[in-house]
Amino acid sequence: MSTMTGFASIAREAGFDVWMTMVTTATVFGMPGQVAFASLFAGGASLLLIFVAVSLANMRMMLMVISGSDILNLSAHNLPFWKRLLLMHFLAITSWAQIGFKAQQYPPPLLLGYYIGFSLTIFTFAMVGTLIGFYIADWIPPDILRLVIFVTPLYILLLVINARQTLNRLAAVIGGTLCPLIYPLAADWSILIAGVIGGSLAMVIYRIRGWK
Amino acid sequence: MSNIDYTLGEAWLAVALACLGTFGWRFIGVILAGRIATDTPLMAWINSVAYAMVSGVLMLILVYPTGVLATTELDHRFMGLFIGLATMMLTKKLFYALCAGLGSFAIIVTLYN
Repeated sequence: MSTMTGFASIAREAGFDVWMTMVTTATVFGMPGQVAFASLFAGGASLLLIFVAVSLANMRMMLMVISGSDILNLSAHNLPFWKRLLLMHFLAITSWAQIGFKAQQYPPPLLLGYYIGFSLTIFTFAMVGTLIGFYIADWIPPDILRLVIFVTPLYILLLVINARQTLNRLAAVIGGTLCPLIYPLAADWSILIAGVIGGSLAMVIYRIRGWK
Repeated sequence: MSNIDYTLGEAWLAVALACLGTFGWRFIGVILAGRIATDTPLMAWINSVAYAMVSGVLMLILVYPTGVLATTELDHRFMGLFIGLATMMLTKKLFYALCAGLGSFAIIVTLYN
């Protein structure tokens, strides 16, 4: 929610009206892509460039959806394709990290219900946060707002570093270190590059060390 | 405040493209999810890359923030993160770690900015 408040203030500066801002949060629902979209829009970039940049920034969605479906054991639920797609539209970083964390406590049938409740709540908060960001971000003192915005990255990094599997914790540390380091060179590609290198390197180290 | 570079139609087309650029990946993800077996090295790799990507995205937000978070200093954001992570490792409690990380960040930012 708080990062969506941040997005809305960027979007308003970029010249979005309130409908465009709300529809973007509802239909894209993936933060880094939305920020890339608003920044490029502000700069008057071509529509093709906007499409490519958003696609690159949100490519991780594909992996999160595969991973999320696996955590939820979706294939065992016998749901039609459109229902699975709808469920996964509401998958955000927060809900993905949360189910990865809660998978240790809940068995798969309960976990799906937990996921639906959690992700719809997150979605609602995101919409409200966007609206708040668009209209009243000016009224919240910046000293408070920046603390609010700090919560989301902190919370998710804490969830991710607490992953059940050593392999995933290792991947998070390597990816998280690498991504900001290569960003000045790789820009929009840095997430993809850091992800593939971080994930693969973690797997190699894990295999060599023989951890389980 | 409207952007002079785009017509209204182009602006909405841009929204549609941004949506497609994200929804397309979810669509492919749902198709692939049904075809990759659990407990295979491929699945472990996908999970591992997903963790690395997500962690990378959030570190980008912390290291190169946009908007109001950019008014704080990198050292201060790192200190908040570090204290949060250290508390997580010591206590294993998410709530304490979040409070410690956010609390220390709030104090540092208020004192030194």
